[in-house]
Amino acid sequence: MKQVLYIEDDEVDLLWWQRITRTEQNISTTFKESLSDVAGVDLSAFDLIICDANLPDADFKSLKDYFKNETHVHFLSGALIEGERIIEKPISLSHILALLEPEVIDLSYIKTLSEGDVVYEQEMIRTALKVMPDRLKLLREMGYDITKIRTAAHKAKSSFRVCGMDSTALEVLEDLGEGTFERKKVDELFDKIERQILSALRDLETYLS
Amino acid sequence: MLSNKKILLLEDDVVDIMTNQRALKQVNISNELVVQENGEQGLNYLNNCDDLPGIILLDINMPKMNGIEFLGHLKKNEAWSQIPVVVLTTSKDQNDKLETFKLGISGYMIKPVGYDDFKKMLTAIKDYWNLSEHPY
Repeated sequence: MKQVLYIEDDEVDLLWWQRITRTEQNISTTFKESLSDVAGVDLSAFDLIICDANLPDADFKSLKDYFKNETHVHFLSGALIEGERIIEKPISLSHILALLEPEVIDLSYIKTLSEGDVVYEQEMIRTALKVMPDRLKLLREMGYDITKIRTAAHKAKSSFRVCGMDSTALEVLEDLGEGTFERKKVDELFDKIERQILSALRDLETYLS
Repeated sequence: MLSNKKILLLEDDVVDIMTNQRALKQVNISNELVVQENGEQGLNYLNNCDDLPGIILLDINMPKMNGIEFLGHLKKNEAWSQIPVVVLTTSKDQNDKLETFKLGISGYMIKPVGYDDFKKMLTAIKDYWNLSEHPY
């Protein structure tokens, strides 16, 4: 059972969370409404902490400061906030599941490539962070056009390779042919790739922080 | 000893461009790397450059004009047709391979999963390029 701490004061957002997670037997959520409610809570007991970026007793800056040593905290925001580990509202179930998945990246490729050059290593990671959501967007925009899906899947492979991610789902899409095309299967693969990318973004951001 | 000619890399993926730039240095290929992001830009570059590149590293899947279309144009031009072209790709598509060999490429290399293997691949390209410039 995965333990999630959700800190949120907005009733609609709380209802939304309950609705999207109610079918997930593997998620147990503890709810808190303010930062003062969190005082004394053992944060290490949670696999994931989701916190509204603007609470009644703390703004985003103070929240970031409060959680600065926690790598498994993500901030939920309805406004456009620049920064790492920000999730735009409304959060989706696939995003929550992605955040709960074990680490999906292996940075040995980038580490060998950078040969101890930290600046280069971080530049490469930031580039991967920027490119991967674009690749996912491109895949989603392809609809069910086999040729376009194959091309988009092919394009995503480089980022997966350098981040040491499993590219099996992309390879299945890349090998799609008329005889092997099933919309349901393609949707499943899209979902899997989306979860991989979201998890990778989490891991990369955690690594950078 | 390689000539000081430039290397033309046709690649639209920024991650792959960064990887190639870095890896070429690590295998001691210090020739200037010119990057163009699709076949159309590659042809424009060849049309306007003062000195033709010594080798072309070519991706297949690129927007506007892909690697195969680019090769078609390249091989029809007498001045460019002798430039060795090595395809660097993640595609295992046999049709791509067949098509590019028909168009006269010098090599077809599938980008390996590991970085050390990637460096070995570039070293092989360096050796091949050296041999093409100094066959005897």
